[in-house]
Amino acid sequence: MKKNILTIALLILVFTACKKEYLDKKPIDQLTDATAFITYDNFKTYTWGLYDYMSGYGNSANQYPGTFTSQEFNSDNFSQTLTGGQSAYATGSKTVPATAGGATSSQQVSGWNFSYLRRVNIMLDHVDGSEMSQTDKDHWRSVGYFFRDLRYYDLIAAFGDVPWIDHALNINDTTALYAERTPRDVVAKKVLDELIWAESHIKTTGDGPNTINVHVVRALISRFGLFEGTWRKYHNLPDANIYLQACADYSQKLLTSFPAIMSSYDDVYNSEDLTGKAGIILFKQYIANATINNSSTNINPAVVRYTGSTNWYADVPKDVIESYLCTDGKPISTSAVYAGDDSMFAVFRNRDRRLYFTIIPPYRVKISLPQASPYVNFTADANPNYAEFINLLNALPGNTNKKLPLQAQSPSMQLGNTIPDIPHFAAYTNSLSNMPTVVAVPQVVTRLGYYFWKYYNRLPQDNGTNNTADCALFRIEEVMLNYAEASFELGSFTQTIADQTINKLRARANVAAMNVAAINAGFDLKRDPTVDPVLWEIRRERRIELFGDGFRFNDLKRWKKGTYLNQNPLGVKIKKADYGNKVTIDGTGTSGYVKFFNAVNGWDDKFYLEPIPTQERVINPKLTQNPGW
Amino acid sequence: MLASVALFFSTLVFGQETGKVEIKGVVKDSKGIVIQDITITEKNTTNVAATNATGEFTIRVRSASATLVFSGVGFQTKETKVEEGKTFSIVMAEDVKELSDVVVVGYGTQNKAKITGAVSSVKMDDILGDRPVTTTQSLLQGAVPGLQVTINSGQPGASSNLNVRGGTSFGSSLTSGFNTASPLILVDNIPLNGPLNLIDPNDIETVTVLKDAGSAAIYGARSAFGVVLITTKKGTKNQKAQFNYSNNFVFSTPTNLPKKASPLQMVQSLIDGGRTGYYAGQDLATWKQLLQEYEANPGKYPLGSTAANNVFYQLAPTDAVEDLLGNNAFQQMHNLSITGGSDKTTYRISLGATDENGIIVPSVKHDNYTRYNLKSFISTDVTSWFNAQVDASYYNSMNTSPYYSNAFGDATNFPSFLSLDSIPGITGVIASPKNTVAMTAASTSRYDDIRLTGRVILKPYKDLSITGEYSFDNLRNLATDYDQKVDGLLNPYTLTAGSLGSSLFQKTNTLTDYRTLNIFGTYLKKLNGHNFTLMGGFNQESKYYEQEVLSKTMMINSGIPSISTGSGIVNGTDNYSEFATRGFFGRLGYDYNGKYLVELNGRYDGSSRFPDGHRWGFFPSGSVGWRLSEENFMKSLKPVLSEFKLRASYGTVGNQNIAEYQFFGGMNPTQPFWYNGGSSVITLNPPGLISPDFTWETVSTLDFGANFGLFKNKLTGAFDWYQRDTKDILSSNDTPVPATLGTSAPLINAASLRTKGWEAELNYKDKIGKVSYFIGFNIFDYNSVVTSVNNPNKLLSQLYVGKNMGEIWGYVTDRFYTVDDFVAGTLDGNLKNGTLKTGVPKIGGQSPNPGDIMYKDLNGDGVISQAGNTLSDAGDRKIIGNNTMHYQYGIRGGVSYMNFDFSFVVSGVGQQDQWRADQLIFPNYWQTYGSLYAHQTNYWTADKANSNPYYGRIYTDAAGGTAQTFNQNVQTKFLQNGSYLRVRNLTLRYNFQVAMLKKIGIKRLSVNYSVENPFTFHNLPDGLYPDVTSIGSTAGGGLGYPFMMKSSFGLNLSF
Repeated sequence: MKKNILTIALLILVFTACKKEYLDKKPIDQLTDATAFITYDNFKTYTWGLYDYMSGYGNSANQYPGTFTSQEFNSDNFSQTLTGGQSAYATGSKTVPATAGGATSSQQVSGWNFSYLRRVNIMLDHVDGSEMSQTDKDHWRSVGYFFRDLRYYDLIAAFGDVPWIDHALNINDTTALYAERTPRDVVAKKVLDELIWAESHIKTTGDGPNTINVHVVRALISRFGLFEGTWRKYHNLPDANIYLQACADYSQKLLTSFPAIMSSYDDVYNSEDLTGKAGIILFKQYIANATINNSSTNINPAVVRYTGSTNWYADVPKDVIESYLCTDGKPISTSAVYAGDDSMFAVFRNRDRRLYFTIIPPYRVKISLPQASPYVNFTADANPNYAEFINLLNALPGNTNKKLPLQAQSPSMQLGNTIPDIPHFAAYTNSLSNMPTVVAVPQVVTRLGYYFWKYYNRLPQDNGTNNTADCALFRIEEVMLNYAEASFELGSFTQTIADQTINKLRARANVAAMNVAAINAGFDLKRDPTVDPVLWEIRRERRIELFGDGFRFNDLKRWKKGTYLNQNPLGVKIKKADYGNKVTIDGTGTSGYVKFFNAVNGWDDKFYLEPIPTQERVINPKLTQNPGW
Repeated sequence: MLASVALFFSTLVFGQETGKVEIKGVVKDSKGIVIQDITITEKNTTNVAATNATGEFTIRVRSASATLVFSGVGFQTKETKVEEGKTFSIVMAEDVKELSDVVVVGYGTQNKAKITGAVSSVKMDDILGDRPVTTTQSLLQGAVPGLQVTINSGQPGASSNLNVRGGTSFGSSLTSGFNTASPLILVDNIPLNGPLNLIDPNDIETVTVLKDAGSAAIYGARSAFGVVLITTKKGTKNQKAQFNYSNNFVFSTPTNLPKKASPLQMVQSLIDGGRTGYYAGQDLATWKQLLQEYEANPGKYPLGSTAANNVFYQLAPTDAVEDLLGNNAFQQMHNLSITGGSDKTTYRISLGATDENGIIVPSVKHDNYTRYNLKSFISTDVTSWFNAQVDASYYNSMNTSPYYSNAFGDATNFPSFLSLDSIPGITGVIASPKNTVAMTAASTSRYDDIRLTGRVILKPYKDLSITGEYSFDNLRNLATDYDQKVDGLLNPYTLTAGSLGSSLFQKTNTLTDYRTLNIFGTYLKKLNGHNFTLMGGFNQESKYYEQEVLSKTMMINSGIPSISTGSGIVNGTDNYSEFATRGFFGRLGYDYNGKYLVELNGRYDGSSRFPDGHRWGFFPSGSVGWRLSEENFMKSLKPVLSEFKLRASYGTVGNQNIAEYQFFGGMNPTQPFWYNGGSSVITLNPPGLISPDFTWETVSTLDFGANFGLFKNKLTGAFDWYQRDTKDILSSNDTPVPATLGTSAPLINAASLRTKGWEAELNYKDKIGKVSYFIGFNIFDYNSVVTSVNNPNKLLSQLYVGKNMGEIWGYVTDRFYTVDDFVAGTLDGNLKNGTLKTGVPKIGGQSPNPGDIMYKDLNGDGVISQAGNTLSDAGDRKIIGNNTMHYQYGIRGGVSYMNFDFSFVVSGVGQQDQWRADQLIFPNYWQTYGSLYAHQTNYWTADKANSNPYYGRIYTDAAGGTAQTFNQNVQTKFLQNGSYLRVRNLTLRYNFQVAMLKKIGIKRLSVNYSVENPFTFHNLPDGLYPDVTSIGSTAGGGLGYPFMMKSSFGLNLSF
């Protein structure tokens, strides 16, 4: 009997265990698109992820100023002084990539990558089905348009014609998936139309401070309008003025809303907090000791404080230095106060103040041992002339970050790594002053002598090499330059506009104001003769104000001036004997300009548009290749 | 402790009955030697006696017609009727199980002779022996044909990857290539959850591998790619408590560390690579001159370093790899078990402790594996038809390893001319790999696993047995990682001070619950030589997993890291997953006189990993066998051919081994890199695409096999040939989709794969005089080919129909570019920057110099490229090799003479190609921080151009990914031969004479000396092993945790 009972009990157990729900397992910690897009706050939550497209100074510890400067390496602004480090566009070595992918963040040469668009489109697809008021729906649609068009701006800049995808595709949407590229005319028009719609439907103040609001949308119209308008003009496409006019109109509105700029150029790049600062439209925050997703590499102070010693190689060719105006508002070719280039000290004398905030000025000091915390002991060099720019920077009003001699690393270092002299050549790191140490200072070394230090600061962060200065993503200075240039291209540039824009920047940089009437063919003897003298000055101002911020490569492309990359990237003028004959110069004399690379001549007009990856054209034969590839 | 355990057991031993008839006798073995501790039981009573040291016994039985049962460890049980007044002389046969063995199979056991599937089984005692090996997986390497065990590191507690019969499925991504999915591992019929490491090999009785569908299919849902059944040791009925203690004391030394080139060679290579200076301001020409002086007369610079022009120059050679890894380590293992039983109850309790130090200094803190095992098993016959069992185990392991895993890459890249110690005149500690590890924290990983199994076995009626078992397994893993911040470290390159670490402390707490319920019954029926077995049952399993990760930065005191003592922002995440499977299964076995064998299996399975409506699948299998040796017409051959069996099986199993919730478009919460008003925010990731109707992958296996035994089974062997088709493979990147989709394709049943392979084993054992010996050899091989996939253009970046598992695509190396390839007069003084003559092929976008490697222009288009990267338009690449391990083999052997035993284990891989690109293969691999090894000095320079050096031109000051890397493209010249033969173990054991020991109550005592990994024969450069993968994320690298040579002394004691 017991046997039977036990046996039956076991069998009953089988049946009682057999509940159907046993195999129903759904995630405990995940939402779906059916549950994630209902309320206003739902959209707010999802949209935070879209902001990452603007990666600013980068997203992880110990990064060099990420996306901004990567673009500069493509252009004629920086020269990566390593064998094989030159811009592939300058050497002509750019090739067709095999597979899709690549960069998908703002202000980089975009890859053939549509994942971000999908992310935006998923949000836009759910606006109508949400439980929000029409006003809120319009607001989120506007925010979605902003991000979609921010992405399309980069895609158009890279590829020209690009598929227009305005909803999240599924694998069955073969018509859209295997379609031809949408003509640039159509895509650019849609971008402009959407942005204009967004401008009139977005909440004026966005979702609180430092979010996408009406000003940010206008700033993108300004940026995109100028880009597309000038591209069309110089690449002989129709309708240039539509875009230029949009740029001018919305820039003008912004100038009214943001009449002032920050008092120091350096503070734009090296402030712990840009909240509420003059002229800042949108910025990316950096916070000390915050981690992202529990990762020790995703700690979000982003930029190394010192701009590197061995991996940086962001040398600046003398062509850039020569673009800076002298304090009298004239270029070096005609300025009466230009002191020549026989020494780096002379080069820096009487120049645009932005030069000092961008390139380390020359100096020499004497280092004394022992090297001790917090800062290394140093004494002035016997020759007082070597302190000229140390004194000048000390005297600059409000300047807290850019002090000399340069401390390569932060105050928490036991050794401060004071750099004894500038220029400080990789091939000759011994000091020109007598330095009683067994260690040469191999940091802040350059190949050309001109060292980029725009993001260097002495903010009191105690975390070694990291930097938590905020990063401006849209600011009024760029809008001013967009406005000036668009006005010129529309034929409406006047002294008034110059005063509203360029002259505000020049005043801050201690450079005499632009007098439009005085600019004629003889104003700059080194002008590209195919460019109007006034336009040349507007473009110069843009290059200087936005130097290092990643605009230059797109600027060259839209102006159809890729040939500017064909150059001989030379550096400081030196006497070879001063550096133990170890630094290579151009030519065979005993003195001359420092040289690392030979002249390059590889620009090809096909580089104006990026190639479509080979594999994508195999998968979708309707994708045509861009011309020349 | 021991005393209380003994006390506990004594209460289990039931009171003894005595009878009236006294029987006496003596027990000997086949050689005539008396045997102690043979248990003599009067059948069907609790009346027990045992033989004494001279083999004699006395027992009082209740009836003159009683039957006596003689049993003892290592001997076949024997029954004899008593005869009153007679003195028995019993000869007991040694227990040579072999073909008469009973093998554990799915939900039951099977006589080995009657097995019709592809099943291999090993006894753990045979492969463990006295080896100083802490983990089961190491012991299984080379032990079972068809079971591939990959361990890529010599690190204590290193994990492993098991695979049965090769290529299985694709996993979630086709682009990552083939998957070698793990088999289902069961311990006593219950799935194992934690790492295989957790099981003490000393607790294992046998390991059985079910390889074909015919034998594995009964386990259903997760058995598609084979099943490994681990059976643990149990007690024996009617046996006195037996204590067994064994230990090993092990001294480990690293094998095969790479040897760096001399400082002078290193400096020369930098000069040859185009550099003039080094990071701390050194002038390379000056350095070279100083090194030449130092080599000629070391006494000139007694410090081994000097300063010139205020710059520090290291002169004496250093070796960062030796510094980091060249240490001896100590390991010890102890195991104590108590086994025994009455005629109703059996028990076994074991305690194991293992403490293994690694060779990274200081070992105990940073590199250690400690494990404790406690396992107890009790079985009792409650009634004659009701048996109850309790199996309880607890495992605990603790693993420490350096957090700073870059140390491996750093040590590999560290040139021999950098100081590892202090620098005169500068305060601070050089951040050498060793110092970095020593000064930073260790990562810890602690496992706790509790497994509780209750089992009842009912035999309500004759021939019917029903088993019900329920198991609860609770696995916890607590891991900490601490990126300790250390200040005052001197950068070894620049000699400037810096700091290391972000001060992030992270704690990861993982909990896994696994519950298993099995209920199954077996009915046996014998009718006139027709034997039927009917088995049917029910199985369900569920898993619950959760993980919490907490982290914080800014420790108040860098030496006391915790979440509470950090002053930064706390960050926490959690994640969860669950799955459940359920199945009904049945088996019908039939044989006629053990000659003709048939088995049919069926299983109906459901899995929560599939969408509703697609969850269930039915998977049948069957096998047949024919024992020719039992046929009458073979009788005359019986003295020679003792056993000969032919087998065939075919079956289909479902595979559901995909990530959970693939039918659910989940949006994971994540943190963006965007702060709002100074605070971090949370966002949701976009959902992936889902397909609503994917279902089971199916795996069909066809297997033909044979088993044979010759000369009374002295020589035995088995052979299997199989073909395994994996169909409807679940894969997401199955179809090359346009990038405009913006995500990968959804998971669908998309592709198929066919694996063909074979396995063979041969064993021979015999005795010549007093010398007995055995040798066993096994070998297996397989090849997997894609049979269908949606890649109509045959893009090589995806799988394509006809692709072989492991194939390596690369260029064919032609020669070096020479000066003659360039337009005269265009090359500069360093033979660089010239203009290539027209018609000389080169890679698009690259500017080669003389000494760079030229590839063959296979398609003749004048440019070296991948072209369309499709099978028909592959440009200049072709298949140059295959990295599948072919012809994996194992050899075991042993000799016994008198009291000495000697045994050896060898295993290896017969054929494999490997593409390795790292610092140990290419000179100055990481251009800016690379280093040179002794075997890498033969690189191209202008003056060596005519002597055909091995390596091309080197560049030591080049931007990453340009000038040098195209010399290192995958190509024929530097393809490595990954075949090897490793002598895994040599053991010598001495068994003490029983007579000597009996006085002190010891039954058996042996001592042994054993060497693990004494020799490896391979074809790679120094410092590399084909089966060791590199550690660390630093560019360059290549160095892995070396296997250690372990010398061990141990003893094995029974009392």
